[in-house]
Amino acid sequence: MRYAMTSVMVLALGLVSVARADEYALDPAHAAFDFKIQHLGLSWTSGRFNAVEGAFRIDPKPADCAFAVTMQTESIDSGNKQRDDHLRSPDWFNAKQHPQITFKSTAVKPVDGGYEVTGDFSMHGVTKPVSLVLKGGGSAEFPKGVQRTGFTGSTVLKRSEFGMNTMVGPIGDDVQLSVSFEGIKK
Amino acid sequence: MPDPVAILWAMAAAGAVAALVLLACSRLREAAVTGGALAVGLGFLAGAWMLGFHPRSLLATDQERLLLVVVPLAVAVESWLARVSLSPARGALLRGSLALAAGPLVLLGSVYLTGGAGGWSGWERLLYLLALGMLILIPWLSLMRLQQLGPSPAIGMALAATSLAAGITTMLSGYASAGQLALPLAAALVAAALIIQTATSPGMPGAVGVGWICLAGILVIGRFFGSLTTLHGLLLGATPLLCWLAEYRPLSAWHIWPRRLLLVALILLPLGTVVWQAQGSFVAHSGSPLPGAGPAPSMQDYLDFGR
Repeated sequence: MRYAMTSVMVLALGLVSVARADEYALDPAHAAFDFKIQHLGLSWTSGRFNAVEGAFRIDPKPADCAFAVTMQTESIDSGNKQRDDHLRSPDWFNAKQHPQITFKSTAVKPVDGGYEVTGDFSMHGVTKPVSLVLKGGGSAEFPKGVQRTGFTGSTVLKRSEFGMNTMVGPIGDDVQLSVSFEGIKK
Repeated sequence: MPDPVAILWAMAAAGAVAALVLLACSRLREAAVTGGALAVGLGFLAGAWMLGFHPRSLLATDQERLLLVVVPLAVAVESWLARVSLSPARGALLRGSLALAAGPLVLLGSVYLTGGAGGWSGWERLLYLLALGMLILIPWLSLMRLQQLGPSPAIGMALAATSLAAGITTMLSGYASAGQLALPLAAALVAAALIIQTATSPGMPGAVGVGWICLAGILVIGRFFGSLTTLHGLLLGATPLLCWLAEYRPLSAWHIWPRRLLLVALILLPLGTVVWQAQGSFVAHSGSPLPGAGPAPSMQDYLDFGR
């Protein structure tokens, strides 16, 4: 009996030690990186970045999880061509000078139902630490043979902190960024 | 963002600085020939400063690279060429060097040179930068040659009118802060042309040379960092060259006033067409409000909001 108990414990410990981190590639077809910004204090104008790529690692040890995302600035889409042209110009995102917006996690902590992810957010040539809570992490097989997981979260950035000061006032300084994405297990 | 009052102040400052520099230089005999180049360069920078151009570094943005590197280099080249007697070939070589360097300087660090998404590949880079250099150099040399043929404020005025049109078109093409820079440039050119004409100062070639580089620089950043179309950029850049028509028959045989009036009309025609097209495109893509709800809000409406 004692031998059997020891065997079970050794087996269990072994299983824990061999549990591997899962690597995922972001599925651009099921990824939404949206922003909202206040207009005249009356309503919110929203937009998104259509070209997004990234990868993440889900590890049994949350501290070893990692998230990295790149958005192509040029792909900004607020549903108005004239506004998008202006947003791409150096008055706003300066897409030709800073073609990418990136986020790379530096610390991941477990929270109820997900992770609190802190990382370096680079936009408009400025890098600052940003934190957001990503909820989710469930898994599904879709289509058959393809394992996927997904997360949803949001955070608020001050665009002026990233050197984007155009029309602060009528156009809000706070930008609500919401993300929702799936990853396909590699 | 475009604020008519701020722009008017910037134009006034640019014109005043250009005039003061020219008058100061004309009192210093040796500096008189360099006055035009200095006047337009400093007037342009003063206007830009009034419009909120406060650089954080030397090379970080396209406007910093244009205003703090390319324009001072143009002032230096034109001032030097005005003071020393170089052969036309050597002068062209010096201007050519700056024209070829201007493109890479303005585009430094952008996707066009680093090869990011939407940028240029190796061969494209070489080809486009060479073409850009030629598009800056050929009108530059051509305008300088025309200025040498007969001292006249016409070229300076044509550059000023083109700067106004380029400014409005660039603003309508989605790059407001670059477009508004062209308006004080126009004021500096007008002030320089008028003072040089009335004081019979020898500084006009320098003013034309620096004015052209400033205008070309605005067109380049409008095209490559904003959404100024290639066609509009080329038309605007080519318009000052219409001054050459006054040198050929039948215009050259006309009396001066009919000739000037026709030249003005010939210059305003392409400029007006470009601005009209840019305005049409702006309206078409602005997502106008509901029928009967009034015009779409302008940037000025945003600036005035809450006042």
